[in-house]
Amino acid sequence: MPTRSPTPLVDTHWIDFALQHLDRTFSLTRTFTRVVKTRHETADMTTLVLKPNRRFRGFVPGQYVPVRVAIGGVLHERSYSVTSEPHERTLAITVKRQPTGTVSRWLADEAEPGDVIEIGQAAGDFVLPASAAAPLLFIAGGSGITAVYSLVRAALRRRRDANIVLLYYARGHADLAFARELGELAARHPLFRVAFLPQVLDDGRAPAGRFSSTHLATWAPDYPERDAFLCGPAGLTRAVASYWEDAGLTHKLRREAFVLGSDDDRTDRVAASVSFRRSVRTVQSAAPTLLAIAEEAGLRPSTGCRMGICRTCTCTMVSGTVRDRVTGAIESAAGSRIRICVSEPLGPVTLDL
Amino acid sequence: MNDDIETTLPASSRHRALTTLELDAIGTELDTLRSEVIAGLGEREASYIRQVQAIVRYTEIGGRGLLFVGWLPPAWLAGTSLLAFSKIVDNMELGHNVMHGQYDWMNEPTLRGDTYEWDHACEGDAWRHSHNYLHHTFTNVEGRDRDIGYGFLRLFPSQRWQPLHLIQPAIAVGLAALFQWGISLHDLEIDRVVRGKVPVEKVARDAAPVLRKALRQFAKDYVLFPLLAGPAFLPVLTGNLAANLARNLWTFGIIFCGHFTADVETFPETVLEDESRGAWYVRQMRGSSNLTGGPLFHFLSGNLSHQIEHHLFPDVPAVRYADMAERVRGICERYGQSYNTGSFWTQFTSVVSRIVRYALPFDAAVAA
Repeated sequence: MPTRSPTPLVDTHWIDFALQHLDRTFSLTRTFTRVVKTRHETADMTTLVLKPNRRFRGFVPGQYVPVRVAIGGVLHERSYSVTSEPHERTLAITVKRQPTGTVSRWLADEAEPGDVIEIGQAAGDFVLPASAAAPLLFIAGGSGITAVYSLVRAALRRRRDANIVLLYYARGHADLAFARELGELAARHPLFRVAFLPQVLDDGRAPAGRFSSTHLATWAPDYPERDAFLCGPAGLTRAVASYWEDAGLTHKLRREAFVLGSDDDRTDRVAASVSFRRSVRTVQSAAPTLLAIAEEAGLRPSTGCRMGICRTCTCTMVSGTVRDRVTGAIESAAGSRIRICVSEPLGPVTLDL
Repeated sequence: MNDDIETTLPASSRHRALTTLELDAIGTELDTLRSEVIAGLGEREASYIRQVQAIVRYTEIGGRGLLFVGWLPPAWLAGTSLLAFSKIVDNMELGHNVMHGQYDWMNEPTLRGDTYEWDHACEGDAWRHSHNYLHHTFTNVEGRDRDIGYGFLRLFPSQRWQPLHLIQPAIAVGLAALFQWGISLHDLEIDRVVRGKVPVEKVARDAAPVLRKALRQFAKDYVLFPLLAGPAFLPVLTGNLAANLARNLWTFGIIFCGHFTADVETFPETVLEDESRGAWYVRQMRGSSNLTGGPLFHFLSGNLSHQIEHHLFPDVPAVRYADMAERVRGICERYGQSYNTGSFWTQFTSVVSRIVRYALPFDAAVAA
């Protein structure tokens, strides 16, 4: 059920409409930013430097911001890690261009200085621990470096002599973003060591290979003592997480699951019967999420991140049982509020949509 | 019984009977048309509705601004006209259509059908219930669609005559003049409470948001803006009254021409039993009527001049109805269904004659 705050005397949309004639980033309620510049980090990673309006409430290193862009008349939202530092006047996000990604391709290819882009408030609990005492280990893969780069810089700013190891996996040498900056940081901070671990043969050197105990033994033999941070593609996070689990160290590992488990093309899923109460429609579908099923049925519910973060798509489950694809939690309480973008039906489900 | 040739929708004076198979075929053809149009939605429609939103706002600023110097007769006239124009577009092409969810695909929070609020006395959620749900689902079904005569006008011979209907031409004029207030109270079903069909408690529960919105709307047009105008209190008050009157008359005219013209049909409640998608479509076609006119006329009607297309595809952006109309008309012709259309004056005259004729206690047999 949509909730509305009591209508103020003057409609805020009206004031926003007037304000945007003065400056397209002005708004009472929404966070608009102006693109200041764009910078290529690698062939497929681009940093956008943004100047937000005063609605933006800041961020903690390691957090992401939802970014909303209208493409073909449709407002799309994706979340990107912040790669600037909190004291800067501008905000930087670094985007990996996905070959078929609607938003990432637009941000990488089309966005240019002067454009106005809407963002949301920063979110995410992939941040440094309050205590700065323990040594740290970061494991990043691909675009996962964006959040990790922020954390490394914040940790070094907090303590010049912080003891940090970074294992950075990427396809080739040319795909390493922030390699120069990380190298400079390592030169200035003797207790910060960075291992670049490309997966394909280039520069005449042998590939480093996938995450293994050898890498840990080489770079961080004291890994059980370290607070570990993990951000990367599904394969890497699975491998690292199970390694930490086997070592009984899960409590020392923080992870940012930016990519949903890639079982979207699983074929053993059985069709579930999903009823949309308000639309008076019932469909059978084997699509992976209730959102996908709703869209297949021609419904157009509000959506945001589509990955279980922003809660834009939250709606009431009248009855049924669903599994949260991110946390694995099972929910079957009638009347519970669920995020349909990450909810998989485990039987007949009725939604208040 | 042979299902293939079984007639599920009977013939009537203007339409031939249709078999189950034909109804399914019509359903498939219209579903295809709908998917084609939905698939083609994009930048064009998105920037269109933003332009409409901007037009509504610029004309409202212009209209209210001119009324502030409304002691000058030309300024009063221009201000009132602009404000009436703004309110009409806000009600029809913007508000009515956005609240149907026609622009939900844009995912733009300010244009979402389920939260949008308009410059109208009728509160958004009450409207979404009485109009989007009841009227659009049960279109022209007797006893279910409360828009048939709005609970107190007798427009079809199948409605039971009561002595109060004798003065319904006068009541209809009053309703036209105060249309936004009538719509505002419509969802409270006061007529059914009086007849003991709905408990008083339900009204008490639903009334608060409806009255709050109505009060707010009244205060805005008849207290706040006149007071803001200071010495121009009177011209602003009269200008707002006149603009609301013009909007009320216009929307009354368009909406009554959509379902109460000479050739539209109403249906007994039994049609709802196991009604197929095709049969639902045909009921919408037989229960609605279109208006012919130029682009400005269609725009001012919120494209509800394409009432048939609107009832077939209530959540497709109305700006596309004109294109869809040719295909719909073709389908009607191929299946022997009359496509009810005419000029505003032809259609409106037939509405007026209904209001007058059924004020008298004619029964179905006499009327036919």
